[in-house]
Amino acid sequence: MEIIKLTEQNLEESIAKAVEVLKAGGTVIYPTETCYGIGVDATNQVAVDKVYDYKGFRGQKPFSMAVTSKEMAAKYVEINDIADNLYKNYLPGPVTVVSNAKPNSGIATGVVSQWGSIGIRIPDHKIPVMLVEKLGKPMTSTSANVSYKPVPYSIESFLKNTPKKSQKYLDLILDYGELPKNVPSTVLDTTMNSLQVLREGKIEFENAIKKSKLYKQVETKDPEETISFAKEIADHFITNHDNGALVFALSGELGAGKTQFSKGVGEYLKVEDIVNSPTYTIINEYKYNDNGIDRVLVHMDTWRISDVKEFNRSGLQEYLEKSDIILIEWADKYFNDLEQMVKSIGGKIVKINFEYLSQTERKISVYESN
Amino acid sequence: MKAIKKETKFEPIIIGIDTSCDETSIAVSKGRKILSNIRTTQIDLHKKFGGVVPDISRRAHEENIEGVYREALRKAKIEENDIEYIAVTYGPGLAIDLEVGINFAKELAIKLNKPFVPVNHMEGHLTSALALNSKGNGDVLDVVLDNMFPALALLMSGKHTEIVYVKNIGDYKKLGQTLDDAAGEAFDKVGRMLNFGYPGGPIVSEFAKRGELGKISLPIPMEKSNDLNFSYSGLKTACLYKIKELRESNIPEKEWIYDFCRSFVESITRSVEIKLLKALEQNSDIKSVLVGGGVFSSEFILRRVLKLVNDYGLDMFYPTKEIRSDNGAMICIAGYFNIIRNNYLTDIKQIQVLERNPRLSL
Repeated sequence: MEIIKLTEQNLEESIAKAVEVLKAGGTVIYPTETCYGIGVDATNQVAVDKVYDYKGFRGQKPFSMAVTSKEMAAKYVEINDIADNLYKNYLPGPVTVVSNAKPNSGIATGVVSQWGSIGIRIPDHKIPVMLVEKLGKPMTSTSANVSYKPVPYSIESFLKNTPKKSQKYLDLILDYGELPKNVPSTVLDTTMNSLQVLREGKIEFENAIKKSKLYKQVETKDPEETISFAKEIADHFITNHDNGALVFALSGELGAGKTQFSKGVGEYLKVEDIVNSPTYTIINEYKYNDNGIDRVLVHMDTWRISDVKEFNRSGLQEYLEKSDIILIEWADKYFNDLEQMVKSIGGKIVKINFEYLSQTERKISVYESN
Repeated sequence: MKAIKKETKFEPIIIGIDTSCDETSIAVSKGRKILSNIRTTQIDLHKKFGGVVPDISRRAHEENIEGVYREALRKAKIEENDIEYIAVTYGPGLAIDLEVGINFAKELAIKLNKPFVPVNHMEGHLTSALALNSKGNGDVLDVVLDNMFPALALLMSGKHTEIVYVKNIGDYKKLGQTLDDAAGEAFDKVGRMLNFGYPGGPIVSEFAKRGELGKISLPIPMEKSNDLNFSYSGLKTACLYKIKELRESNIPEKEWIYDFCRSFVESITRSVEIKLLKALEQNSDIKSVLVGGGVFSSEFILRRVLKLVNDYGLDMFYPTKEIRSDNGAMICIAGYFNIIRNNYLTDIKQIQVLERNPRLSL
């Protein structure tokens, strides 16, 4: 084990030496913006296994790896839209982004998790950046302490807390003095996240609106006015509806008043339960009494539905067949599919658009088919 | 004086099935002891099980249920014939999802000729804190269970935010609930505004840990309302406007995002503290507090609520991390309490006609 005290003068030469150690499958202790880390070539399985032996028991927790750019990361992992946003806005910095490894990424097991994912950092510190640049490969990025020992901010305390038998795993230490005590990086798993909630169906919806007739447009001052307006709209369309399902297709940004409007329709039908957001359930049913007959008001939200397949098997069709009154939030997301479904079964769609005017005021436009 | 009779402990093997949410989850318990608890996404993708590779797309219950079931039995080290009761969620949830679990449970109950226990998913969250580990350890041992009611239950998940008066297990009165979005939903929707995708809530929670309080101001929902209901739509709109303002200010996102997330988490936490305290003050007979639901995966919120309850002088019981978000283990626990109350079906005809109830409530 060799210890080099880093100075401005010996920096280049010390980095070159450390890179030789890494290339030979050795371990290097290096400073980062959070704490001292232990690095090996992340593509070298023998070297990564050595870090596992050194750290001691840590369950199935994989090591992260450091790269210097998003482009470099993209060689090894699939960067989805969420990860892309994190790289753009928050890296370099104390954030570890977990993505799915590409097939044959060449990264060692233990850096690649049992789930096939890799945690990646772009350090906000010149030393690890220089090491990775010179190595030309990713380097493991995990705190230098053995498991259950304190996170090291100075080499002195690090050596004091590292048992002698563990120290034999250490090849080179780059001593950069006492580091500021920053909290460890935040690990963000993006592998299960999808941006599909963003799916823009707006154009389909807007085209449908263009072909429709504006029935009524109002500006409401607060949620209460939105609820009153909903009652008025419900009264008009429900009273004048003869048969088949009646669908209120609602479109508008988060918080634009779609759920408030739905509350109004619920109140009009004298639903006893509290009508609230169906985002998580996807479809809520509310019982109401229609001149002595028990019926169901259906309240749907497509926000979390990720594809047409899921939309088609949501159970909406069954409700349409039963000729229920159906409210659909984010109806613009699958509007063409919705329109086709309603057409084939027989029913009417009322399109309602919500726009923000201010924090409390909204513009609500109601359209019916020609 | 009544003689204290030492009873033989009633610890049947229960299988708990939940398909009311995004993931298929099945667990095995021995009484209140959880022997295994498997969710679709926990299954090792590298190790195929029973020839089935799980479909990790959301809500692919039909495709996954058999595999999750086999894995739950394997982890619990039991055979199918060891099962004594079959508990399953029959509401609330999406009808089409619930049916997958119910049909699977019906077939199993009929095949094994064992009782069928329909469970309310919300009763699952409510009783999740009463689970014990496989060795029988936990906070709520039998002696505690005998003396903790009436209790208040605070349930917070993606779908629900409610306060329930629990006179005893099985005897509930809802005191308050959300009028619009659930707390977990507000997390994910704000996560979406910040381009964290779905579910973005966990990223908001993580970022909040790096943030400082008091840098960005957001409203505290329902601070002044006198009832025990919650509402998060106003906070959602306030966040939308605040994010827009911050983005237009041209300050790099990484300079405000942590503080913003910190303030958001504070607003949610404060709203919960205010309502819970009100509920405690209005119900002086309360002996303990139970919490459950995925929002408590945030240790921050859990610790704050715990502190409030302890400062009030009461014990609070909460589930271990693995059974906070939707899971099958809590269905075993709620199932167990239903079995004790003789709430189960043995008649094949009755089992066959049991229907899902998407709007089931406590």
